[in-house]
Amino acid sequence: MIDNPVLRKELFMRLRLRQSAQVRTGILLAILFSVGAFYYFVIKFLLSDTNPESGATTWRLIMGLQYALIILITPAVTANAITLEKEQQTWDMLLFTNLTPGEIIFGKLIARLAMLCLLLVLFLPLSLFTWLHSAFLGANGSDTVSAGQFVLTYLVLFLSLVFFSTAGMFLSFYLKRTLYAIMGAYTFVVGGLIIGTTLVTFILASLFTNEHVFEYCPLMWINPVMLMGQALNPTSFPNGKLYLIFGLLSYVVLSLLMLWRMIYGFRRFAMEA
Amino acid sequence: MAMIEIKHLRKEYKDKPEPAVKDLTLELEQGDIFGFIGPNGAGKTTTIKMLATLLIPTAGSATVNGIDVVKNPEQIRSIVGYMPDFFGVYDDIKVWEYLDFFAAAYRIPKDRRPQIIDDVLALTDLTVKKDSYVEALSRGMKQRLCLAKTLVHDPKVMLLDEPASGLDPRARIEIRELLKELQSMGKTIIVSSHILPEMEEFCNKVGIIERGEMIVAGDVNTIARQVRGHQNISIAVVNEIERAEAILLGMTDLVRDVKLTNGLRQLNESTPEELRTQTLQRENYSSKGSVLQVGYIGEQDEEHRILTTLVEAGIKVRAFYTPETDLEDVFLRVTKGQVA
Repeated sequence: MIDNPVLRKELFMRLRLRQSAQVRTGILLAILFSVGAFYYFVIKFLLSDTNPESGATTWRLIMGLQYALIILITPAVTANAITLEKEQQTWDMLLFTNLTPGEIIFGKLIARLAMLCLLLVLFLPLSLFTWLHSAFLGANGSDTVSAGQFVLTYLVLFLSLVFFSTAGMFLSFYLKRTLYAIMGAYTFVVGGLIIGTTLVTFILASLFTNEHVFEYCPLMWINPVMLMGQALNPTSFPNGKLYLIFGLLSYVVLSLLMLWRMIYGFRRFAMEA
Repeated sequence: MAMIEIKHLRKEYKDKPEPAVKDLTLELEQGDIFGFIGPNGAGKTTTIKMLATLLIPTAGSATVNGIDVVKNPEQIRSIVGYMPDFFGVYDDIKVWEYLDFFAAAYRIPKDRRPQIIDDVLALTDLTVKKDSYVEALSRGMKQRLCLAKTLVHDPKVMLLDEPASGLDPRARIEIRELLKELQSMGKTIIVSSHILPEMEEFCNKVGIIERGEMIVAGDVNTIARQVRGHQNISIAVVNEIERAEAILLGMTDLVRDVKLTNGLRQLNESTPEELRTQTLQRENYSSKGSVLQVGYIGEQDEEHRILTTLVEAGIKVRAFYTPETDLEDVFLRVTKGQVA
């Protein structure tokens, strides 16, 4: 995979900073300062706070913040993957190589996923600290975060990241302009998955005058907010874990379907587009 | 075996009523430089894209080195180099990195790439720009870089879609020289362009396409003869230009018309006022010698008869030659400026 020229080019180009040494240092310092300040205030708060549940609450906030950032950033980062090639008129030349559709699609997807995963890596130490605080300092019977819940929440983060990225790539593959692809990706993730599913379920709940519709409606199982809510608080619904597994499975299946469609329909679509 | 063989190729687009290419047939041998000429929208790019496996033909077939472009696109891409009419370059990438990326994309082993990159940079005269960022290159240099990219996998056939469009005269000359060099390397090249005099200079075959149909194709001189119905022969004479003209006009089985060059019109087309002016000019030319342009309609192996007749009549012939074909004239004669 590392020999994939598309992956290497995408990573290389994204990591390259062509600004002067001063500007580069400035950017680096600004990031370090912001992250450092965030780390400092959270750690200081937890070390001084005597509430045994603070660790778990802070951990949930940090995971929720990461999820919100993923929802906000992913469509913009991934929806330009192929439209940019079309716009800058390099797409035909890329198609006219011996690269396979899989190499092109996965090269672009993995390069973007790697960049987005840096976000998770950036917050991982703080997440670990708050989790440890919750696990070891939380009093018996108080709200704690188990190791399984920790892993499951990261799994939700990662699979959501893959799903949103694949959706962004998918739109980028079928649309001609980056602007339309980005708008489409936000419409899908925010408008469709978050607002759309909630609205439809709300209408169904009103129609059937059943408050449990939110619990049983399959549409809500793929709602990202609902999924993360389940991961952060698995006891919120009686069958929460089941819905979570179903939701994650849906993400995986939909991602695979989109990848399959792109790869196997690649040449024909790329030729006729 | 023909290097490129196109048979009854046709391409229809869903959103257009007229086919972009219809019943196009063409055969090129190895080492041929084929000039693909036609107005905008005539179907040149569509044809080139079908050969480049970037478009699927609606009907017909095309093979390159015996390989079918639809059935074996991967093999075609290994032996063909393609330069699109409009292309961009990646930002934040250096010239050598750009070429290295494409070399890797053509499965060239890592240890061979540096040498190949140096070679194609030397060929395209871009060695000094090896470490420059591609977006900083001038348009002409980007064009040459794209040609260098097209050459990294040493293709047997090159498809160049308007390689000199939008370039200043110097950059056009550089591209032309480069194409001549590729020609000397034995590559089979299909090149589309609007700059007809340049095409005439290095193409041994041309094809004129309009509204998706190949109107004429073949050797430049043969096409010119086909289109005009005659072959031009220039005869420079030292003396008695009017007598020479009369002798030539008398050879009705071989000569269709005779024109005096340097802007003088044929006698029978001139007004009395023009005739007076031309007579003065003729006297002037006669003292220095002038060139008669003969519209020759005979067989190629009969051309010598004209020269023999003139010499036997005592006309001092300074030169007897076939001038370069005016491709622009041929193009204008056969096309109507219609698009598919």
